[in-house]
Amino acid sequence: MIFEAKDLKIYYKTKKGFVKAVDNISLSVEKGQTVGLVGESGCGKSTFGQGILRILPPSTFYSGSLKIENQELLGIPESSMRKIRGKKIGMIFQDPMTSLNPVMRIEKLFYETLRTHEPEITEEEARKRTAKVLEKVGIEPERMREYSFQFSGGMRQRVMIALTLVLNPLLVIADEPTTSLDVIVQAQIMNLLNELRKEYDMSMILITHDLGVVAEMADKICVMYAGHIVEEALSEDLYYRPKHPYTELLLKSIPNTNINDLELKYIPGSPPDLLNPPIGCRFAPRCPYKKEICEKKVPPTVKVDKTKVKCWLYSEVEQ
Amino acid sequence: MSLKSYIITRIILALPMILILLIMIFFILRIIPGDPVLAILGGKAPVEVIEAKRHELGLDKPIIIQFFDYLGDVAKGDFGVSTLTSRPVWSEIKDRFPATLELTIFSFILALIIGIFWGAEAAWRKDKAIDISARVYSIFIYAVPVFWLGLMLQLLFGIYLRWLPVGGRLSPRVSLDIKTGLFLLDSLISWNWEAFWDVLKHLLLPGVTLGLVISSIFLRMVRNNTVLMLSKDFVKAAKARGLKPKVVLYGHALRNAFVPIFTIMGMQFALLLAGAILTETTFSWPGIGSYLVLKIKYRDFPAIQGTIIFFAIFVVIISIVIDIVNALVDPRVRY
Repeated sequence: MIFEAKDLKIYYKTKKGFVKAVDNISLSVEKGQTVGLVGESGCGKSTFGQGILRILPPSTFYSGSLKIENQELLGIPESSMRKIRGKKIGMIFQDPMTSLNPVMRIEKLFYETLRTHEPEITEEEARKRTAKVLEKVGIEPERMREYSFQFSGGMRQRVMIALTLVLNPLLVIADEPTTSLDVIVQAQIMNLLNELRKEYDMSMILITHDLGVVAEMADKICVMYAGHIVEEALSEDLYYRPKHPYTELLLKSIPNTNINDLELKYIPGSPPDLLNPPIGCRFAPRCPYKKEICEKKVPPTVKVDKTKVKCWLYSEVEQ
Repeated sequence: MSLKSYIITRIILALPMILILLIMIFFILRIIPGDPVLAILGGKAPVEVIEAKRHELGLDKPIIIQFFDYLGDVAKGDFGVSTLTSRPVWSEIKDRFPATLELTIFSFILALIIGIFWGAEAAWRKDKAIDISARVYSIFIYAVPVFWLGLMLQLLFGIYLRWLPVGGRLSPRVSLDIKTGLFLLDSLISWNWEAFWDVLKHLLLPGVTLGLVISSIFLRMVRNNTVLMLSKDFVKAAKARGLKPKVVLYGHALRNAFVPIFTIMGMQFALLLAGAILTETTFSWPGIGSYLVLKIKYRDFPAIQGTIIFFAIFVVIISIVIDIVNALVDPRVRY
């Protein structure tokens, strides 16, 4: 096991109280595995991604356990954490238009990153490695002399990927890497990520709200709702045999191009306020199968076939 | 657009502005009460003498004729002769300017140091003691009149403690070989340490006064812009690559924060000159600021007009220089 989060809680401190953005999440990633993390906006998936690297505001509260290669990350000092960032866990951000410093040449970004983790590296050596990794992502090495704003959106995301891969991290967190790109470029970037992941034998956590994207790439998919993981299943099981009502409704609301089916489906209601989440199941207010117990007690996570699901429908026994 | 054509365009665009300024200052000077002839000769001079002087200065001609005469001279590069000293205005300004330049450069560097380091650290530790003190400092200094701050510093360091002189640029007993007119530079070139210390001591109070005033605006801009930049995605991405806080703050956030600061700084420069006038007057600093005040007192029309035009040209040059520096800092301007 390369990465493991156990009972992870990440709360934002605000004037009104704690926002429970990530609440008791457990998730593990094996070597070479891609885990998809799906959910709608504001469900805590990006918080989870950035929380792993601890780049959230300093006042953020963490508890539980986060391990990379059996090294515990929660509670270690900031200086040790810096050695993990980039080197052991890399991150690809959502918006390539704003994630690269506009006043620095691309080669400078690479050199600076390499030198941080390998202080003895020469500029010459850094340039060689930059050229190599840029070639891998399909950018002519000569372009490293340019600035990020001289690249198109898709190209910038390639630079971002190269900048993450140059340190050859064990785990890459891709936080909605294609959300801000158009569909054709999305597919290119996804294919590229998939190829490189195999080539570098990397593990990956792919955060997205696009079920289509994860279906192709992820071995395992976790569905997040309001700070909880409500379902964890193998990709195939999730698509063909969804267990949690939320997953089921989510899959039904994917728009299709069938001319006889013009109605756009959606899940009525909106996600709960994470400052004061519902006492019971967080999806209960929107759930069509709601029972009495759902609004009173948080459901346990139970295993049904190969799927782990957090829903009272599957744990009648305990009632 | 190439750099050369850019500079030429900017200069051409500045010409109408200078002309409008010239028209305004020319007529305003003649509308406001006060007679240059009486200012020179005093109220008790006989009428014939006053009339003779008025004719000599060309002030008896119709105002429109006076204006076009003056405009013609300016176009030829002749800014006229001071009615007070009978010396050419341009050479008087040239003599006085290095003192102002030295004062402004010193203050600017001081303001940069205070603004950059305090501002950046305040932004990094937002809402902590260093940030709150920075905010209090900048509001306090900004609200305090320049001359009052100058007087207080004079009182403390010049009168009570007797550490520093309260006016002038150089003690009479110290000799200095003047080449550039920037006394600090002159004394360094000639390895004249005695003069160097004397010049520095004279420069310290006015320089610190003006420097503090500029730093208040500068500190606020650096702090606010850096706070903004620290919230940007590329800063988060830089942190996610494991970069050290100093690199993230100075290399990424501050460098980007400087882009809008330069533009604002260019506009603030005119204000800086206004501050220089007050500072120079407070510390009897022989620059063009105190020169202008003196000339206004004696209603020395050609000298006042010349100084205002000089200020305008100076501001134009500085704003062009700032644009060029901006292009060096921000590659987006260049491409």
